[in-house]
Amino acid sequence: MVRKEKDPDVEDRTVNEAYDTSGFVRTYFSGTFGLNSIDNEGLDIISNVHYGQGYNNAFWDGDEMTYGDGDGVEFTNFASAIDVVAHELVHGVTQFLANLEYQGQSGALNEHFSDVFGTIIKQKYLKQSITEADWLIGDTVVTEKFPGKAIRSMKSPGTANDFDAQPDHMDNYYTGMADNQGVHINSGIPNKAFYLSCMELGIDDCALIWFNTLKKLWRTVKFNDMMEISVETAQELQKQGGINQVAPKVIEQSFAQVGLTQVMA
Amino acid sequence: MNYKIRIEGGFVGISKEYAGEITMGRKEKDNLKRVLVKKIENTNPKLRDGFVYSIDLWDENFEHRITYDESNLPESVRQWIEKTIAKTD
Repeated sequence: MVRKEKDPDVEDRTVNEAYDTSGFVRTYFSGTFGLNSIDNEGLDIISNVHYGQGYNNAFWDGDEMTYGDGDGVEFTNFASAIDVVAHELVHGVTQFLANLEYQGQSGALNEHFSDVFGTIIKQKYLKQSITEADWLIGDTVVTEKFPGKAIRSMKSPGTANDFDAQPDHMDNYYTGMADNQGVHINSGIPNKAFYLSCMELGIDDCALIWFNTLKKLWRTVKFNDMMEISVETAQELQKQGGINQVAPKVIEQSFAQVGLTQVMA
Repeated sequence: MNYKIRIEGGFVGISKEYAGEITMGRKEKDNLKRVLVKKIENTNPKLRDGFVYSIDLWDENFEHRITYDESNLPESVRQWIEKTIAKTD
């Protein structure tokens, strides 16, 4: 253990960055939703840094987060990026709130919620408005030699880099087996719906809707289920007077724009 | 010893493939083979954004293909991959 809670800065900058960014994420969830750490029961937030050698990744293992330093050629220090840290930490939140199965559409939604709160928290951290924000995920972990500007784009899925295969509409839904049936690929579809909703409602209303939606989801949930629960959640929050009155309609329209519409009973 | 290493998935989601021939001492080669043929330990179902590692290794006397994920990749194989990739680059 290099640095524990309330310890002062240490010499290793990466340790301090992981400590500070994780703390920012925890404070956001606590202050905004009253969530007590990742599991709402005060779970210790443990970050492992400098993992492996030139390791181009960050992951959540069910209990802790782990970050690589990057190869220094195309990628750099994953622990210093607020959106990456938030993304990984939210995998933990999702595990405890909905335990979404990590394959197919439920897996893509798992990735979606991590990107959603990664983006929200990045904008809060940088004190940006929705129009100032770049809506990119992982823009600070790529170097100038990387063929792209980021790992993913919430605003324009499929355009972040030369390898970015994310669709932004159900017409282009990935049906292959790679990446646990496209968990990092098809997440582009709900990601785009989230972006469109934010541009109409603002990020705080959307954060509230998405967080309350996540709490209602189940392990094998599909895109259409999530869309319907989002609209229901927006209706409930709107009746309570907590969000913009037009939110349910906006959410419905945003999902319709990416090819997800409500099935009439 | 000929090798092909494919690393997929992860937060970044960009697949990388490395292939070539690597010279290994007899002891190092035997140790690696011994680990590779062992039964893979259970995977961690709670793992998110972990890499998947597919390894093909062959020479005149040995041919082996195996796939690990982040949670069951043996440390010695991880170190061998890192060393091999560094030589490939």
